[in-house]
Parts: sequence; C-alpha cells; structure tokens
Amino acid sequence: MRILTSWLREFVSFDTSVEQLAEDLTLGGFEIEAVEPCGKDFVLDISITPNRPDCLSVLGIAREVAAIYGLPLTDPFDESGASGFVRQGAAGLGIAIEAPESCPRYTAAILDGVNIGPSPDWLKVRLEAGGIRPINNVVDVTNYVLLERGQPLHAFDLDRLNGPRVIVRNARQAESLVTIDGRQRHLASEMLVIADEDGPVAVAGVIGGEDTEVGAHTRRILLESAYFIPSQVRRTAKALKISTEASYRFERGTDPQGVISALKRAAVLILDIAGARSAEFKDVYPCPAGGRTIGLRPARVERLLGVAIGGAHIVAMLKTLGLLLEREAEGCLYFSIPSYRHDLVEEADLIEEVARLYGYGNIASTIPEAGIAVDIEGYRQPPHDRARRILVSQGMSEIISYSFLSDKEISRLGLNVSDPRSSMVRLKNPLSEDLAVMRTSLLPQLFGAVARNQSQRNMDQRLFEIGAVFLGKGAGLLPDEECRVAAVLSGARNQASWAWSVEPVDVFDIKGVMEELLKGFFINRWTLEPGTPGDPFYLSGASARIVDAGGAGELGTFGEVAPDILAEWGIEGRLFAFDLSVDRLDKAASSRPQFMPLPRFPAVERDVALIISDSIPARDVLDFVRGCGPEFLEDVEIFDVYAGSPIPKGSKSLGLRLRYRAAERTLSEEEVSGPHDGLVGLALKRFDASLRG
Amino acid sequence: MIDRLKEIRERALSAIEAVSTSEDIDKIRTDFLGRKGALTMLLRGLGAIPPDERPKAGQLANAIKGEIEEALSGKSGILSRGEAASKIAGLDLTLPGRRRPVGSLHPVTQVMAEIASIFRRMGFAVAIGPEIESDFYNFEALNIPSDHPARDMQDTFYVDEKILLRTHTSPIQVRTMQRCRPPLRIIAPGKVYRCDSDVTHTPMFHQVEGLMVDRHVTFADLKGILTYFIQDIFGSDTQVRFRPSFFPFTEPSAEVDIQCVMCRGAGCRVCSRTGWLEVLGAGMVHPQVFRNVGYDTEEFSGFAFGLGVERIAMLKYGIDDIRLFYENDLRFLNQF
Repeated sequence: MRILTSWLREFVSFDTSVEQLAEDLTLGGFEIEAVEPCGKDFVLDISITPNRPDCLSVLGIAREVAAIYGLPLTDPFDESGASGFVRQGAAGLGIAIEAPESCPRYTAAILDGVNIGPSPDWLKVRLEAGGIRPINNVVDVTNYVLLERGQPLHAFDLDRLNGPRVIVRNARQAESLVTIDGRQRHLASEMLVIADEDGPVAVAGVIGGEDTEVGAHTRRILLESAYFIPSQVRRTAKALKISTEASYRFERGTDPQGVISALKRAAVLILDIAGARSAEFKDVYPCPAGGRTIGLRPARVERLLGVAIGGAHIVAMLKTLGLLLEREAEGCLYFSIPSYRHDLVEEADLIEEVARLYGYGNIASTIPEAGIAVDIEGYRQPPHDRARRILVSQGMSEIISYSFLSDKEISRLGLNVSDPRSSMVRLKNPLSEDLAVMRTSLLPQLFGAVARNQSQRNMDQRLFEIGAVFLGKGAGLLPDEECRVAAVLSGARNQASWAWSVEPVDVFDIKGVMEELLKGFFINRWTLEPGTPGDPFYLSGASARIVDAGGAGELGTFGEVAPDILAEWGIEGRLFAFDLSVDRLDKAASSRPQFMPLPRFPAVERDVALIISDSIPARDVLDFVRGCGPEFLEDVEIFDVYAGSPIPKGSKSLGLRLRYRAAERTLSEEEVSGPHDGLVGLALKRFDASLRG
Repeated sequence: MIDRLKEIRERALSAIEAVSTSEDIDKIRTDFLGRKGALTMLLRGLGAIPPDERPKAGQLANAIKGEIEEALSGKSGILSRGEAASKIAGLDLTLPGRRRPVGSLHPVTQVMAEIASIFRRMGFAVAIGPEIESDFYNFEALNIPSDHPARDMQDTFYVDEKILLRTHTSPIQVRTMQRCRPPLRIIAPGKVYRCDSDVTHTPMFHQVEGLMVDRHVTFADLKGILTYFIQDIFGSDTQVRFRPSFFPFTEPSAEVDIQCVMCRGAGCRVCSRTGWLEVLGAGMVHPQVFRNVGYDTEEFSGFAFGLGVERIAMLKYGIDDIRLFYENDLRFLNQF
C-alpha cells in the first residue's frame, strides 16, 4: 500500500517527521518498506498483513496513526453535507440480488450528464503515487475513492447496459465475458457476476466488462458500491488467475457499512470534476451485518502477556481504535467491534490489540517457569547427525541438494520399473521441468555436484549427502520418506604433495569409508553380498550389497560407478560411491558399544603367507580361520595381498597375521606353536594352498 | 686405595670428555663399569685393605660410580642429539606439511546444529516430521483455511489437491501436540519448500520452528527465550526488538528484528538502511490451533516461533547470495 503523507495529514494532523512516523507505524504492526520523496511530499510504502484489509486505504492508516499518537481522526469528506447532492431515490433503477449469500449488499447510483475527460493534476498525482495509472476522470475517481477509503467501486456506461436493471447472480454454464483488459473470460457457475438482461457485464468484485466500460462518449453512468463475501471473490479471482486492486481488497474483507459513504464520496467528486448534473442512489441490503461484541478479561490479558494492565487503561487504549466498551460483567469487558475489523473474532484478537497499543517493547522479558517435557522423541542424537559426524571424520564434505530434480536424472540410473525408486512423486506446479519430481535417490545430484566441481578443475572429491528420499505410494497417499546417506569419491586419495606420490582412489577407499560408518553405528555383524542387480549403475564385479546380519535387512550398496553412467553426467575419471539407508543403519545399530576388559598379558603374533587360487575370496579364508577357532586365537587380519612373479599365474599370496593371547598368563612361543601349526595345516588342505616361503 | 679410586675417576671423566661417538660411550662404560672394568676390579680388592678404611673407600667408590654414570648419560644425550641432527641436516621446514583430507559439514547443517544446541540447553527436544504433508497439517490445523488470503503468504508446491510440500515445519508442531499433552518444549528443524527463486529465495530452504506449551506461558516468556537465543547466536550486545505482525496460527503475533549485524544499526545496504534485520516470526499459539488439537485454551497457553536457517547463516558468515548454499561448489563449502 503506497500513500502520500500529505493525503494522510488530511485525516490526522500529526507533527512528527516522516522518519519518526515510519518507525512508529513499523512498531505498531505496519512495516514501512520504503519512504520515497515525491516533490516536497513523501510516499510511504506500507506492508499490510492479510488480516488488516481495513488498512488498505488512507482512512485505515489514518485511524492507526490517530490511535498511535492519541490524535483525533477528521474525515475531510462531510457525508451529511453531501446528502443534498446525492439523494436516495433512483426509482427506475432495478437491483436484483439472486445470491445474497455471496453479495449481502449492493448499492448503485445513477449519474447523469457526465463529461469524460482527463482528471485534474492533484488527483492524478495521488493515483500515481498509489501506483494506479490515470485513465479518465470517472474511472480515476473510483480509484481515488478506493485508495482513500478502501472501498472498490465500479462505473458502468449506463447507456450500454440493457435497461437500468442489474442482477447479481452466479454465472451460468458456458457464459463468457470480454473484460476491460480485452481478454475473453470463460465463466463457471461458482463465479459471481453482475449481469443485465443480456448476460454478464462484470465479474463481481474482480473486473468489469469491456462492453460497458466508461469511455469518451459516456454520458450516463451507473456507479456500483457493494459488499461481496471475501471467499467468493477469492475463489473467482483464483479461478480466473487475476488479481486487481478491487479483488485484493474484497477477498480480504471490505467494510459493509462503508459502501454508502464511499458511493457518496465518489458521486460528489464526479459531480465536481466531470460535471454530472444529478446523482441518485439505491441501496439493497438483504442481509444486514449485525453489530458484534467481544468480551475481554483483564486477568486473561495478564495471563497471556505476562504484564498486568488495568481495565481502565485497556478501555482507554481500545477506544482509540473505535472499540467502545459496551458493558462490564464478572471481570469481563465487552467491546463493540467496528464493522471494518473482520480480524477481531475472539478474546485473543483483542489481547493482541492491547499488546500492540501497549507496545511490545514495553513488555518485560522473562524466563518461563515451566515443567520439564519428557514425553517427546528426539532427546537422543538423531541417526543422521551421527552419520554426519563419522563421515566428516573420514575427510568427507557434506553437500545439500534440492529435494526435487528432473525425472530424467533419476531414469539415467537405469533402475528397474518395479523398483520403488521408479515411483516418483511429481509436483503439480514445479518451478521448471528440471525441478519437477521429488528425488528417490541421492546419487544423481551427487554425480551432478562431482561434474560441476570437475568443471572448476576440482578433481579430488570426497562428497556426501544425507537427506530424505520420497517413494511414491500412489495417488492421494503421502509417500514413504526414507533418510539415506550417499557418498562419492573421485580423483586422488591425497592431494598432490612434494611428500608423496599421488595415488588414485579405488573401490577400497569407498568401502573403507563405509566400514567406518558401520563401525560408528556399532554394527559388527554384516555381510557383503556380491553383485547389485537392483543398482545397475555400478560396474558389475566392482559392487556389492551390504546386509545386516541382525535382521535390519539390506543396508545399501557400494561400488564403482559404470563408465557409461559417468558419461551421462560428464564426469571424468573413475568414481566410487555408496548409498545406504540411515533408517536401517539406525535399526541395525547397537545402542552402545560393549566394553571389553583390557588384556593384562602380552599377545603372541604369527604371520603366515598362503598361496591360494585367485578365485578364493579373502573373506572365505578369514571365516575359515575364525571358524576353526584354535586355542588362544584372538584375532586375524590380512596384512598383505600379492600376485605376480614368483607366485604362479592364477594364484595369489595372502598374508595373514594371527594374534594369540591367554587371559590369565603370558603365552610362551611353544604353547602357540601347536594350535598355530595345526591351523595352518588345516588351511593348506582346505584351500589347496601352499606356504609362501 | 683412595688414590687409585681418584685416579680412575680422573681417567674416566677425561675419556668421557674426549669421546665423540655413541659406540665409544659404550666402550668407556664397559672399560670402567663393566664386569671386568677398572672400577669393578678395584672394588674386588676392597677386602685387602684395613677394615677401618673400608667404609670410607666403599662410599667413595659408589660416589665415583654414580659420577661416571651421570657423565656417561649426559654425554650420550649430547652425542645422540648431534647424530640425529646430522641426519636431518638441511631440513627445509618451510615446505608445506603433509595433510590428510579434512571433511566439512555444510554451513546450513552447522548453523542448524548451533541453533538446536542453544534450545536444547533450555530444555527443548528436537522433533521431526515428513516433508511431504497433507493440506490438513500444513494449513487447516494451523488456522489457514482454503480461500484464505493468508495462503498467499506462502507459495506452495502441490503434489495434488490435498498433498503438498510443507511450506514450514509447523506441521510437526501439530503432530506433536496431537501425540503429547503439555508441558511441551520442542524445536522442529528441517527442509521446507516454497515456489520462489531469486537472490534471497530458493525453492527449498531450512527452518527451525519452536513450540512451548504449559499452564503459564506468556508473551513475556516468548520475549525472554528469543532474546536469550538471539544474544547467544549473534552476541550478547545484540539489540532485539519485537513488533506486531500477523500469522494465522499465532495471536498476538510478532516479528523479531535484530540490530543490523553489518552496520550495527547505522543503516546499510543489507538492512535497507533501517538499521534492523528481520530474523524471526513468533507469537502466542492461536486458540483455534489449540482447539484443533484438543487442548483446553483456558488451561494452557504457549508460544511458537520460526526462523530461516539460511538467513541466519548468511548474516553470520556475510554470504550475499542464498543460491550458493545449493550449488555445492567445493570452493564455497570448504570455507566453513
């Protein structure tokens, strides 16, 4: 809402500076977006919240200014003085309200003998400052009154209406209307129109028709001032995708008691500047709005605001806003509510008015006395925070991507149509096709981030993202939301340095990060299942599924991303990724690690290198050794893998380090030899192996 | 005997003085203190001297042994340092150190964690909820009926007529109130969505909302909690002001401004020359919201608030374009 301060001063004679006024209005709930000089004057650009349509006018803002400064409000328009020129009458004018539930009041005046021409400069200046383009004197007057009093008006060329009779009714099926913006509007039965005998001439409260528009040759006008139900106007404007100064005010709520004074104001101005000879009006008000009262308990004010404000003080403050005390009973004050204050419905609304006038800044800050809330989830660390902490410790950088992307990006993953990730949730009104579906996987955007960073010549990347994916469950149902974590590695393991040679990352780097993640969740019992038929974007032979042995199911997959997939995103080099379900990690997690007493006696370590067939996975050997469980064996790990000369082709050397320990004494070398040699013998036999010597 | 002891002492100390390698130190130790060393051999002859001289000679021998040992270890320390130093001669300490890849959390995550930790300290629990929501939880239950102009305040992404991307994390407040009775103190962090995109808006951003409900919660308490929060995150000298505003789910409603962190209130481009920056929306929970979840409005009162995480992060770090948060450029991410 943009208004000139000089216009405001016609209603309330404040003497503060414009800067002070701006500050006081802002602290009163009317945020000043800008103060713009306009000649010697200023334009205030005021942000009006949707609950205060009564302030979408000079009059409305003036009421607030008067209340803030305790000044009288003086309306420059003398309504009783105008009665001599604008009389109730218009006997020949017919007004039929067929939809009183949508239009409780319709008032119209007939003005005869107007001369259409440009408006005087003072009027044009005020319109332009308010952001409205001047058109001609009659139309400008309707807009002037709209800005001044917040009541939208519409002027019809009466000679182009079929008869001096208007009907307020719902549109009929297949009716249409060319509106003043020259567009053909197809109307629907839930829309309200103003019609004559021939059909619609205006969309009620929204926009007028081109046919009956006031133009250069107009001599007689029908001036409309009405009250329409807000939700009706809003539905119509939304359906037609138009927002006008009129619809903006009607859909927020205008003053049903203000229609006559606005009509008279406009009629007097038109008589004055467009030379009309006479004006007569008719008021049809089938459903008069009753006066409302709302009770307010000063005790409740104190309880909600935390400050005691006396009843007399409350009455005095609310009086400045036109809220008058009607009666008082049992500690409750009853106030009559002005017809323009649609926002005041119940006690809490009045308490806000009290707080606003008292000044938010005058209410002291306190720290609440309150019980402790215990019955809520979330006191423990959320699983995604835990995953973040672990991944950062692994040198990974977190990214955050939009939750929406193009379905093409998901389809590049080549997922099976029956995969839940192929059931994407599509937005009805996306910003663009590139942001049209909710993601079902975190990987496409990680791949995109890799490609974008490579284009900045950032080749060594260790990225991860944690967030929800959305798996559609069909029309009308909320999708499943699953929290997942995905990570990618590309480029070198360590940044280039004088101190070491640069080595590229491989699949064991991503696996290592993943293993640390599993360890950080205290998930010790998981198995690796080779192959990822569900995730066909990995290179086959270099990917696997991770399955929780404790019953949480498949935790996710990892592997090397296939080169053709990388080409789709324009990624250079090799890329390694994992994609796990945080929800399942959380399910599989032990809530806490189990303490193991520290060993009190030293261990004996024995190394052995087995030459075995290439085709035997390391895990089989480890499982076998652990399964044999020789006496005193504490742990076994792989310290070396070697293939090549002098190891025969088709074989590899697997170096195992076995650690033996007794809980209650120091083992001698001899004690270990028996079980160790026995174990080695069994392993040689089981794997058809030989010792590397 | 005593003269011979003194002579051994002199010989040993001058040998130690002259020595220049660790190996020679070992040799001296053997020569004098070893099983066949000079001092050991001499002490074997202790029985041959008169009994009344024995204690004195024994004491002297032990003192000399200690003195030689001390000289040996002192010299050995000096020599080992010298040898180690010669091995690293010419070391260029101005070369860059060996550095492992260091990870980083996204700045939004960091700021969100900081916000959460401040409220946790005040007894607020973290609650989460779905990002795709029903119209009921996002709007209706929060006193935003359809056909209400307040819906224009938030441009909504729709999946269908009744399903949408949440425009705020307030649905979590409703879900929590449906599940739990007061007293309640929660914060609801998470992603929210609005169809908007420019230098100050992204179609997805993060919010932290809070809710406190109990028997005697007041607007003064709201001011107290939020002032504490703001001064914790922006500094204890940050000026805060509360001014009336409108949200359909609170009454009274407030916008909370802080003194501009860039110009300290003098007026600059960031604060549009007002000296103030809007950082929070807040208010007392609207009685209609309580009625919608079955709370007795006479028994309970409460406040709610909400803030944009990116906005706080931008002010904290001086970031001037919100879109940078979602471009995932490592040159940006590595700064935090």
